[in-house]
Amino acid sequence: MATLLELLATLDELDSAGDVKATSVRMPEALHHAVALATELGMAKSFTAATNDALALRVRAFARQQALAAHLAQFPHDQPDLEAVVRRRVSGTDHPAALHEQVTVAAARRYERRHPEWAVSGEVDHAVDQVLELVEMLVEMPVPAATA
Amino acid sequence: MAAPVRHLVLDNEAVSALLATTPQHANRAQVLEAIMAANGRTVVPTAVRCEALWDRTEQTAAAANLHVKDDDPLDPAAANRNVQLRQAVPAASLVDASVVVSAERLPGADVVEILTSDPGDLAALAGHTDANIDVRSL
Repeated sequence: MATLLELLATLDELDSAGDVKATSVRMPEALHHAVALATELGMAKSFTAATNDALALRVRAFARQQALAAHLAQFPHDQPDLEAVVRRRVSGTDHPAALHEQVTVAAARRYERRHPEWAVSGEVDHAVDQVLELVEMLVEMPVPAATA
Repeated sequence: MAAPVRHLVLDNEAVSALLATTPQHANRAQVLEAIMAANGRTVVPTAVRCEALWDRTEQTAAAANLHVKDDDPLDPAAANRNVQLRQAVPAASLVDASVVVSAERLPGADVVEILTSDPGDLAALAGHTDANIDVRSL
């Protein structure tokens, strides 16, 4: 059975090796068409490059997710609060979450209550992105006019 | 609005904490928080690996290897920059400067975090770069 260490070692090879293997992938026709159009519009150098970039990105994200999950399975006391991770992610940037700390903390706590597995599953980046989107929405929401 | 991209460079104490195997370790928990917050790359300068005695081939390094895949080598260009930074901040060590050189060389970030137990010298070195560096203390 494949291990996470083997996966990471193979990703290392991806960074350095230029070997190419031909493969045949069945994909929805609409997706094929969309990738071709996006490539024409400048998303990637070629259809192949677009496909390889997307797959590499997905595999790297999976490897990170598995590494975080493995760490917390071994050391459960290391789990941070989601609000701390979110605040650290935006620290030093002009993201609304960095400028509206109370909203950010409230949004992170709400997400953490609803998804207590956010860290042990390793899906940290998804959780942080969800909180950041919620903060953006709350900050940009117009304040209702007071009624008489 | 695009989500910010945050890279992370680990200094000696952060690496030592990551290599620890005790069930509870306050510094290791801080390092994990930093790794979770870094959605870009997490790197370790090779000079730091030497100082922290991190041999990637040892079984005890397996957990750390999972989190930090990228070494930043002290190549000729890094050596030149290291010298320039140490001339600007004489109190800084070779390892301190290698951390800042690595932070400077990471492309495409909104912020590069440096996690260190020596924030004074690292902040002084970071002041001599154009990168947006967030020096965090362990």
